[in-house]
Amino acid sequence: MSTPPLVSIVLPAKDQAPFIDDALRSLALQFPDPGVLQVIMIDDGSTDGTGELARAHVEHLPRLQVIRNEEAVGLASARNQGFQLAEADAIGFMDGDDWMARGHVATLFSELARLDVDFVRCDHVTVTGGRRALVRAPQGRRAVPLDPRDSILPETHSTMVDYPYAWAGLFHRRVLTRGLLHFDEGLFTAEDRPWIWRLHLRADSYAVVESPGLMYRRGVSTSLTQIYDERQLDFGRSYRLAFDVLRADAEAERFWPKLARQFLAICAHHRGRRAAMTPQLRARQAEVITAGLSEIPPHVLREQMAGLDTRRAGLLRPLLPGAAPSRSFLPPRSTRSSRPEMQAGVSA
Amino acid sequence: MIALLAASTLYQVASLAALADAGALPSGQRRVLVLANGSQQPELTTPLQQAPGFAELSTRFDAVVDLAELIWPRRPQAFSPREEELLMWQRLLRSHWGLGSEPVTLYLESIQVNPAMALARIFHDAPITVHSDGLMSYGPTRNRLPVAVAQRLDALVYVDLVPGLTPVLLREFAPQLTPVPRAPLAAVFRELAAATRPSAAATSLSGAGDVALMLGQYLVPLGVLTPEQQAELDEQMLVAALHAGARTVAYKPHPSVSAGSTAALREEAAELGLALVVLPDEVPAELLMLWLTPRVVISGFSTSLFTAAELFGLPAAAVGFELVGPELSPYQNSNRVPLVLADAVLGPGASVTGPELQGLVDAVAYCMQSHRLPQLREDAEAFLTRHPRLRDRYIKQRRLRALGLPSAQRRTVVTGRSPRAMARRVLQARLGEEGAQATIARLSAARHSLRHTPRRAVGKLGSTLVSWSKTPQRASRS
Repeated sequence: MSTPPLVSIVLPAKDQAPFIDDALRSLALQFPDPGVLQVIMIDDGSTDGTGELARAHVEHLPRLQVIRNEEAVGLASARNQGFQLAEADAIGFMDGDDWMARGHVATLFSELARLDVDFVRCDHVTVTGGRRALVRAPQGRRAVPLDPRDSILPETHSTMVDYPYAWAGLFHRRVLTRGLLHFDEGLFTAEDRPWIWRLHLRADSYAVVESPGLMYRRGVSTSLTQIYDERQLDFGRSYRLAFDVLRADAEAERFWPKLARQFLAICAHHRGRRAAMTPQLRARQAEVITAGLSEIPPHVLREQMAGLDTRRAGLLRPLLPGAAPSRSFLPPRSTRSSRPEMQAGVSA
Repeated sequence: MIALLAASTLYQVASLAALADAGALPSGQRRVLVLANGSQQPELTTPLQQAPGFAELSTRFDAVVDLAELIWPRRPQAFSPREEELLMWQRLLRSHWGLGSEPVTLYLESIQVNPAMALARIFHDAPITVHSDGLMSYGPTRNRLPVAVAQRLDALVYVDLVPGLTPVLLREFAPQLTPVPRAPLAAVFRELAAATRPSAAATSLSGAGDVALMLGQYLVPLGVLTPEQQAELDEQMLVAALHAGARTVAYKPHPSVSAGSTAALREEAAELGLALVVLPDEVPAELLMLWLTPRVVISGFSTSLFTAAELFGLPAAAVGFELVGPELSPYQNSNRVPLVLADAVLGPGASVTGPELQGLVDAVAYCMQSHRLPQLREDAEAFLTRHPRLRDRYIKQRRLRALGLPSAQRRTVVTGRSPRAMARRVLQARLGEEGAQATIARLSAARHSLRHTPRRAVGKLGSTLVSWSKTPQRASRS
């Protein structure tokens, strides 16, 4: 096959045996000729035969490559690994437990070319058992080129930086060449936060387009957001990387309120789940949050703290830099379970 | 007059085409086929309109419309419009589907659930005919029908799949019963089979004399079986194929089964000395029967077992009643009558026919929905007294006791320190010391621990043994 593929899809999967067939079957239905689609599947340390199941699909996906990592490297690193093999000028992502409606990628591909933008984004459909719900990308203006920087604010509402799903869109190779598509290595959670900020601060153009549909499976118990362990504390590291990205921007002051508000929301969310943690983990989490908060310009932090509701403010006030020693060793008052992190919108 | 005929599968479209061919649909009506694909993941399956042979089937209708496409990403089963928007829906559907202002009649399957219920509510003044969706129409109505729907029920039209058996569905409303002869449906499937190209795998098997067609049923997502029990059911189907003298098993997996479980099954088949060929064809099982003319058709309680036996005269074998029966809960589960029918008519050593079969189905139906079918009580009581063997096989003791029906079994409470001890005690009581020892040895050789899976372990022994209650502390035995 000498002609390069039209689209390269990077698909990392760890222990997705029950779902990987659906994902790959749907990829085979994306173009009339599936030969134009390169699929780079990274079997990231699966122990349930996900990789073998994937390999069987080469019959219908001639450009399917399965890369095996004996040890899991995590979503961020696995995606980067996929870039090295991507041959097409259009690059997209997929998760191993999702699937797409027919022609979804083909539509994104033609829209990316027609609008001549750095990247396109799309809506998705959450599937929870038999229940389905359409989730709109938070940008009402559709199918026209937009400046990604103009879609970051306002901080009071959910915007495109609160929609950091790599799999909901398609990216031109020039974004990869400029280093905007890479994920920070070794992050196990919230890896998409510094990524989306980098993209929206530095890319030149994008568009939100209508597409046949992307199906996002929810309520899968193996999902990382259900268990709370050391890896989840990576949200602190992820956000501090996002802080770095923003600090390097000429208009950092303009966007700090948004990023600060996002961070406070995610901290409150994680703090709300502390009942499910060991005391050690709880203490570590408090450190992570305090360290993050201390990087936010003090006047921005003050302003955004004042805008929080009482529950969130109550959760975070003891962790503010310079606050009285944390009471994190005391048993938590509330044991209510929280929404999964993916849903932790900033505006709520 | 316009007839809106709803179908969720290609089988249903074929069945409606057969109704048309048999003259069971009034002539002079404009027939609009309303597709409502029932797949969990319609994105991954061939749309019904593009299925091979659909074009031929659709010649029986004046127009084809697609409800599933209209309401996507919502699935038709979840289509439940709000009361105050129903009138708007009717106006929009009438204009979208070009129905004008002509009166509409509805032909619906699975009347108790959406989208049938939604269509009945939207077209609130349309007379309703229910067309059968296989074996389930022999069982009782599961949900309460709103009075406004029940008042409009004209008829239940059904293919006479179990010859002579009268369906219980909707009996409380006494609709007109219109059995459709089997021949037109067989003819429609022949037509479909001729218009469709079998896969290479299916082609390679046609003409081979020793093929068993295994129709997979996937009961894990329904919460009926655990993955281990599902594997066991699949294994039992393979064993049945072996007993029927097959050397090759042509396996049609349930559409939602992943390739992974196929691999496990392949190994299992190899151990039994059977070749397993997985059929990728996305077609009704009836087409595979016609292409392969298998030595035997094997399944759990699929309607296709009866189409095999009654439409095409193929031997059909139902397996797994002992495994599935105890797990099917609540007793009202709509799969119960199909399961009982499959076992009683096509199960191992089964021979229930005629009035006895009707009596059994009515009695089971009464036990499932006693408050809805009080008129069946007297006959059920008489039947259960006359047929203790059928009673003990098909009706749970708890159900009999709850309804105050004749139940010969005495309940013995078995106690013990652990599930293992209790399982051992039940075995001893039933098989004697020696038999129990031998059984336990056999089970541990097969790596089934009594401690972990007492129910499954005992299930291994077959129907003659015991049924377990959910809590191991209170196992009952005869």
